[in-house]
Amino acid sequence: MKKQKKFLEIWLSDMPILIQVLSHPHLLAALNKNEWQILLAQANTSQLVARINYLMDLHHYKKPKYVKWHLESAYKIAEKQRKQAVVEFLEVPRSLEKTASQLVFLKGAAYIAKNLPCSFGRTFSDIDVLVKKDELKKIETILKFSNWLKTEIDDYDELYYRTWMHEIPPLYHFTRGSVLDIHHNILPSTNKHMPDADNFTFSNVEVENVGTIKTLDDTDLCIHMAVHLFTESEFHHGLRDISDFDMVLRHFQKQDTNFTKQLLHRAKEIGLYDYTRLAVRYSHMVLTTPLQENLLTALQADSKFNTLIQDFCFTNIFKPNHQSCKTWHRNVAEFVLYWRGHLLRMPVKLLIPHLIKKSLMRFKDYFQQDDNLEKLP
Amino acid sequence: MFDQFTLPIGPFSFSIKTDNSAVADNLLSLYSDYNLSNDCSFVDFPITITTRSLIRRFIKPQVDFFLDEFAPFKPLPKDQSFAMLEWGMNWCITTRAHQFLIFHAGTIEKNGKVIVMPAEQGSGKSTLTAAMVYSGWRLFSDELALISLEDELVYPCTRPINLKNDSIEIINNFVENAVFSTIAKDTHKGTVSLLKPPTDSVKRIHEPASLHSIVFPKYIPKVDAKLTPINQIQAFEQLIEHSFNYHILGEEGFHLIANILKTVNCYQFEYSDFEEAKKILGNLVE
Repeated sequence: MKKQKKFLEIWLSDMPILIQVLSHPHLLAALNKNEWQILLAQANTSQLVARINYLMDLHHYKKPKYVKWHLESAYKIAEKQRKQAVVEFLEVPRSLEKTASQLVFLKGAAYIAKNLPCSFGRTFSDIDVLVKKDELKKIETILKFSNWLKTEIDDYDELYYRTWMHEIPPLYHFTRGSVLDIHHNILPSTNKHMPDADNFTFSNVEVENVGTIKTLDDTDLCIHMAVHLFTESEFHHGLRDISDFDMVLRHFQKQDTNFTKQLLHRAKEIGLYDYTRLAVRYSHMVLTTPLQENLLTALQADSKFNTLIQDFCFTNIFKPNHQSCKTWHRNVAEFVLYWRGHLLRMPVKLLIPHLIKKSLMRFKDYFQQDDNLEKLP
Repeated sequence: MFDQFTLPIGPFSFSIKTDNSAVADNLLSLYSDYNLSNDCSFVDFPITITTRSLIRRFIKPQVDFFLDEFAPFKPLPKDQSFAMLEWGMNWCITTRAHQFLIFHAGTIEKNGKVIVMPAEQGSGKSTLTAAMVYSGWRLFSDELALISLEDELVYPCTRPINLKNDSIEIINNFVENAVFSTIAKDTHKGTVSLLKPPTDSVKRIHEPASLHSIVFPKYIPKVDAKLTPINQIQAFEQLIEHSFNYHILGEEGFHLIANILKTVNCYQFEYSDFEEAKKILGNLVE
């Protein structure tokens, strides 16, 4: 017990303040002005300001005046997105009633539908749905007539989406402004695991004022989270996503103490064990998600060397990308994970031309000016 | 070399760090009445304006705007750096400060009564605001009306006034000893210069006041100034159009506007002459 406490102290002193408060929200009760300044900066870069507000409210902590409006403003944006998602729970199935035999809400939308703790104060941009690939054409046509328009993307991206991706380019709604991501599989067809969406189990949820909609069932939802996070190559929302996983795991584990075990078992069953293992391991190592004894060792990679590299990369990549806590460790982790992600996503003979094309486009972009400024006062 | 300033602007505190001497010089001249401390209490918006990479320093030099480490815009030509700072500060407020319902409006006060003047770009809102605040009104803002969701008062965020094209000359003639920033040409809004706010308005930057009326101004050349009352439904629609964050506030915003319209009168206002405008707006708050 004493040893454990000592470990906790060392762990805490070494972690950025944002990670500290996410894993131990009671720390939020007594932060000083300087600590808030840094916490807010880290939370802003990590899109987690609204989540901090949720945690403060959940524990009934008093918010200092200077930081209250920052927290609550961010929360208002998240709440607006929640409301928008609920509208789409009603509208999208209504438009596709006769066209899509299967319409499953994924990711952020699914967390909202299931009322999961991580859905509160979570900012996201798209509504993700999964449909059957052979119905895709019909679905696109119907959506076009329901005011869902294509976002502007260039020809290269369009072709890339159509040939390799598990989703089509995002659509946005002309009047409601929502953005819809339509998936026909779980991962790109170039991924070396390429899981079949049919292996997932779907379940119905009742949404207040809407009725029944379809999402993934609890274990498969967690697996899907893990798959998405651990096939990333850039981790822009890495900390937010691992925090989602942490909150969801804590939530389900509270309902059923065997949940993590079942989760790992189920992941093996559908061939996605490795991603799930990583999620559980690093959710624990970064955010102290409670884990049964011995499980951590069982979750190591296939060799000591790989475990060492993974531990280094993932414990660093999930730290906030902010100068207040940045070291060279992060740059190394970014570099390694960038290549890992891309190699997972596609074979080298596809990857090299893709990256060259992308960096050329980025280079061109660097010399362009912003049109967004037009909209400013 | 970086200069750093801490700027208390009404309910917000900005810190501005820059390696650009034009930004620093303009800040010192236009914000000279502010309490430009180095006191590092809590900063709401830490801003940096930097000149871009070594190569770009010589070929068409550009500047970047950062809120903390985030760059919301692509870079702009160096001679627009101070204007960029002002636009960027507006962006900070309108995207983050949802404790207020925010309108795109000139906002002025006299006798403790605030007039909010929402209008499109190019309708002469800033010019009218500039003329009024140098004729005895207090400047809240030429761009943003901040109405608190908590107490329904209007809060000042007094800053330099953004003048474009012909208005620069017009105001220069109208206001004695007006202090302007350096002029930025060829911006997306044309030629832009910022006008120093009246000293008294800056001194009272922390005093909110209650909303008295809403006036939708429109500059029409050679027209006689005319104030026409409009009904609540029309006003409601127009207010939503001119709001930055109504869509985020949703119900909360709806109730605030509905409440406001119970007690506040709304007008359409056509004008061409400042003296007539002064008289008519003055009568409103007598």
